[in-house]
Amino acid sequence: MKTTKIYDSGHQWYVFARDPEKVEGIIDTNQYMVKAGSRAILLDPGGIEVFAAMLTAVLHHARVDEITDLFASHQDPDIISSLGLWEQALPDATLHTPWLWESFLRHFGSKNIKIKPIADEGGTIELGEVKLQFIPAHYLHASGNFHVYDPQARILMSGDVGAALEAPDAPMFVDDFEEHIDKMKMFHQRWMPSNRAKQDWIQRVRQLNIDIMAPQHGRLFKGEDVQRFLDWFEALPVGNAIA
Amino acid sequence: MPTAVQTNSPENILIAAATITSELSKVRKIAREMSLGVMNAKAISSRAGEAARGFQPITDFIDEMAHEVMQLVTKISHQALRLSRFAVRRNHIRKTLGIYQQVIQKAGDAPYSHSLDPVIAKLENDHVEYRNQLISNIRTLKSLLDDINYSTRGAQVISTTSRVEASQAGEYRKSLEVVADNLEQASEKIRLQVKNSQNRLQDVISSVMHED
Ligand SMILES: [Fe+2]
Ligand SMILES: [Fe+2]
Repeated sequence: MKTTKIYDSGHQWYVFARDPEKVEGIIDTNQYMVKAGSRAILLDPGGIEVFAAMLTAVLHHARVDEITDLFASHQDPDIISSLGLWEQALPDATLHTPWLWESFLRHFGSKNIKIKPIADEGGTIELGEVKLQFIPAHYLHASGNFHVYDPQARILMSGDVGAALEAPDAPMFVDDFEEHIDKMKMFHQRWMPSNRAKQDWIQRVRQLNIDIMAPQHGRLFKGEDVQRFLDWFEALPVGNAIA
Repeated sequence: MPTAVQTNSPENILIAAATITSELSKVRKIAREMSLGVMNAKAISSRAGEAARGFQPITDFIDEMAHEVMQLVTKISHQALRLSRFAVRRNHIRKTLGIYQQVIQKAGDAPYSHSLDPVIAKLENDHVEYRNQLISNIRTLKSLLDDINYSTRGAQVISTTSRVEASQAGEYRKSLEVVADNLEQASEKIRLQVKNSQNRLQDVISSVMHED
């Protein structure tokens, strides 16, 4: 699993991705860790299949007992089917997830993990000095869905929004936005169900100062590519499975 | 180190538990038929009156036996279900331990790999604990099966006795002999089904004992 540190100033953001040992036919995912002092949170920690590689990568940057929190943006297997495995190493950790999915996530082999449901309006979590915000992104694509915004690092972890389907060894950042559109278009048109939800999210996100937008699949957007993405997404009709 | 699960795989335990439950539903059916047969035998012996007086305790015995067997079958089905659930939980621990051991191997030089030590120790502990509990669950199931054999142990003697009684029942002789035959056949069928289930469990026990 490739590890990239995307922020390091007082606290750190890591992205773990592009697992070379990934099983064929499984969508590649970006897992994130925010580390603040002796506490860490894993954002969308991934599926069962990437668990071993992911934990191995994490151990280069944090002790397991420092991981006090987990976040699952929504209920998909590529987001959090590893829950039952993490639970063994993190018996005292708290999982933050949309309230809508609380009782569903227990189907991922988890019996004891503490779940702190996030209300529809969103919320915050304090990780030592660092305050992260849970930004509502309902229906993008899951009906209960949040992104994570770090106002200090100016990073928005945007879940499946901004996702791209691409080669397993793709670079970590978008370098040519126009070229990148092809890899995102179908994903957004087909996975995202609601134009109204999309506009609502765009309006909310435009108010945030974002240096890096970090999706759960594919490359991250930085600098002006963040605005380019918002403009492109705003103009894109979604929910296209219904003619 | 638990690698690929083989003969002791929980799938096998699940299959054994499911098969036992289905084999025992046949036993329940046999026992229910026995109990219905007893009602018939009671009717005949009361019509036979004095000639079949010795038949009363025999029908009582068969009735009691049938009910005992049905009760045991219910208990065994519950126990088999408990065993299946347990096998699934244990499999989760077993697979998890395997994955964590893989992580330790891969993360050998990672600066924080030792923070996993207590996690692995606990999983190893749980694994042993679950294995012991699994074995004890299987043994409970086995001893319940023994109880069925124990309940039916007298059937042979009773069917011999009922033949003797039938021979003195004059015109009712034939119909009472049928009761003896049915009892004999039913208890033999039950014995065979129980034997099958016991063999199945024995296989599971020996594979669990010889794992790793
Ligand atoms: Fe998803
Ligand atoms: Fe996803």
